[in-house]
Amino acid sequence: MIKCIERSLSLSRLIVIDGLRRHALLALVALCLASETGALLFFDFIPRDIGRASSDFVFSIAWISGMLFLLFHAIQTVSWREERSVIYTLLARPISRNEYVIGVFLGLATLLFLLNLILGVLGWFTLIAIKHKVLTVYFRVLSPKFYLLSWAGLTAAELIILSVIMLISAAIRGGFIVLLLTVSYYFICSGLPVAKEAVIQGIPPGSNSVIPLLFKAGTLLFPDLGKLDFKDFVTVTDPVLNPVFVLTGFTLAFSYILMIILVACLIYNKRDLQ
Amino acid sequence: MKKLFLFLVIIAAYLLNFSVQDRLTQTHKMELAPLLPAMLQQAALGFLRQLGAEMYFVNAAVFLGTTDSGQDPHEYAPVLSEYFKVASRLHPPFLDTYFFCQSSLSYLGRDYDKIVNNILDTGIKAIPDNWVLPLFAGYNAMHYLNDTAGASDYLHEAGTRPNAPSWIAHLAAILAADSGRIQMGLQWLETVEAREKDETVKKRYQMEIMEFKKACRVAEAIQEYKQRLGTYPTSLNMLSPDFMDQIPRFNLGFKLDWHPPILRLVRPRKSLDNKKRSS
Repeated sequence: MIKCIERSLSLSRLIVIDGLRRHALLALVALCLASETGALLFFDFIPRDIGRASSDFVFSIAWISGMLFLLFHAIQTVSWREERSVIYTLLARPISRNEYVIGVFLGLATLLFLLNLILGVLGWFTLIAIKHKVLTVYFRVLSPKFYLLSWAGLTAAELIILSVIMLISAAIRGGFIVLLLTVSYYFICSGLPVAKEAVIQGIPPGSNSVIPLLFKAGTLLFPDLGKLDFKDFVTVTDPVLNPVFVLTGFTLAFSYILMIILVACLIYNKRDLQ
Repeated sequence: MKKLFLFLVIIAAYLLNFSVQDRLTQTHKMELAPLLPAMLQQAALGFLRQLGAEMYFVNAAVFLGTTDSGQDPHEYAPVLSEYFKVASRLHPPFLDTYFFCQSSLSYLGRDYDKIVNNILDTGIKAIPDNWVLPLFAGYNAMHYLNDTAGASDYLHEAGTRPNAPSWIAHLAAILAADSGRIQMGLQWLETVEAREKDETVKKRYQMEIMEFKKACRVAEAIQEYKQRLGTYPTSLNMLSPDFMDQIPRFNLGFKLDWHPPILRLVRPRKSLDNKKRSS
């Protein structure tokens, strides 16, 4: 068991170094730095709710960076094509397919975490700078606790998408198709809660319709990523947030990721890699 | 040489096109493009919905800054209201949407006041510690829509919020009585009086409470009349002497207004004509 963990961690270190070598992190951080500098100009267009708008901007830029990382670097790393024989090289070593899946996931997750850490620190100082530039009434509160919670939620949502990328890559050959399916997955996750709300509003109360149950079943497979979105609380005075709700959200995300990785491992074990 | 010449021609053509387009853009007025429904945008934007809302707000704000003073606001009001509606749906706690919506649309007529109040309802629900938004909605209901009952509800909501000035809750009570809900107005006024710390103001509220109680006695007499005779009195004088000794006199500018079945305690506003005469 310990050997398994060691091999997985070794592979994950390779993935991290490979990512750093390809300047994946550096390029995204540079992009974010430029964008977050834009935040210093963006808030000039907001007359009153400057704190909220600036905070939303910082997190949105981070989300875009994370998605760029996932859709381009992560999919390119994970997908296997005939011309990309890394997977054969790695599996020629004494490493099982399960260890390969876990190692790649951990490596990419580490890169994602590093990216979010750097962006989080940059974002914090950007927000502090904006807060000092404007009157208190326009930027009352900047809560470090909810700032960290928002980053944790953002990272958890990105890790869910990363695990789904692992799963889709296990089943389907080719980077572009994996990218399309990942984007479709993201849109379904975003759209399902909205569609559910719209449909439920049209159902008369007390009716025994099956549709709400179908939507609920849908959210089992396509989780509502909005439940991990806590950025609305970063600049609110006296925010009210149920700790059980928060804990349940993260626990659900963690168990979903484990489940998806397990299925990915099963698929890799069954598939003929040739 | 030929290649260099061709390259220079292409560059020149590009620069010429650029200057023509630039000149056209300067004379072309900024317009707001119609938006997709909020629900669709919410599904598409996902985690970025808040930024999307803020971008729509910035777009609308910049557009308002480019409008001429002579331009008829009804030309762009339908699209502008859509921007505010979508922005408020995508990001309900974002305050600026509601302020701009109120300032740019509320004076355009009853239809827009209803739209503005619908948009403000979203903000009132999403920002529970803000008293300004229900004040806006109450003002629109009172001043533009002549809906004193709706106005009193909004102002009462504003008055219960943190740091709200006490005059808002007082005005809510006055408007409740004006709309025929005298008993409710009395309860609200008693709450305002209990909370008031300034003795002079407190005394004034106590005097108003006396007037409200007189009105409540008249309302009770009307109900008793209805129960006994099966119909409402056509005039308040019919209540005396069987149901009350005499119709009370009202001070502080209050008077009763009876249009069956609604009894209102009104405080007539000074008309503009009176103001002009006095000046």
